Amino acid sequence: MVTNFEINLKVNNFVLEIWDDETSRCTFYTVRWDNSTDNETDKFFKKFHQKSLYKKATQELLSLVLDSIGEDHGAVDALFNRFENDVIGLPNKGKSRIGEIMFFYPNFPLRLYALRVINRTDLVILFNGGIKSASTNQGSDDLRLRWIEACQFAKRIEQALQDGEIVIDEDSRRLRYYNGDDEIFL
Amino acid sequence: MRSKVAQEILEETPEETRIFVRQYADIIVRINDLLRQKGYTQKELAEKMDKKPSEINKWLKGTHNITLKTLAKMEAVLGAPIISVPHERLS
Repeated sequence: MVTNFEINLKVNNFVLEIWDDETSRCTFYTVRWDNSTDNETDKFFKKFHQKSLYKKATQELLSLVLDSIGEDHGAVDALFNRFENDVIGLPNKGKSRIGEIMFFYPNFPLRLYALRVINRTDLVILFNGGIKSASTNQGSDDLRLRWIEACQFAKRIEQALQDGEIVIDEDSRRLRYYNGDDEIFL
Repeated sequence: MRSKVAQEILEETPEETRIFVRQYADIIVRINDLLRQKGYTQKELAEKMDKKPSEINKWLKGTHNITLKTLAKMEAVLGAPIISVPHERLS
């Protein structure tokens, strides 16, 4: 059960920064707390790659992000179909959104949260994630707070996009602060 | 630029893992595109593939892996290739 404290968790003072802009179909952003040296996505990959039990899953997830989404297809619906409130969980789930037969990554142990910028296929923001140990995010101890946090990040970013605080630079497939700066502090 | 952490993990990732992930994603996207193009529902597809609903359900739940036979049947029903193998002879 989510406590009031968790619901009221505020997401303030973070930086939106590029995580990867080297793939041909998508620019990936991440978030970094203002007082942290590591961004949230690096924390996720570093943490689970160090654990032998999750090393292979971490490598598969990274390949899905950089190879399949970044290089081959972009953030298309078929790969972004695990809707978790304000964010998308990666990897994609076995059943596709259009209700047809897809059966990949059964019982995948990890979740990485992401947001497509205005549902575009070429701009994705990656957050943190964790171990899916129960049938729901709420029931997965390692995941619950990360998921709530990712939803809060996503809400703040979507609000900033709506208000024009963040703008999309179409030419360079980048996000910029309203004054044109690359540094986006929210 | 690329995250240093991502670069390090990618360098350590076996080539076969990356090939597996890419090919799986290719198949997912391909089948989705074909289904959308054909406008088939899950039920219609099951009927056309001559599969029992329970079998389709096992796929949906992710408890069964796809086989080459299933892929061939799907290609036949959807009328287009899902995977292809190069035909040129190697010298």
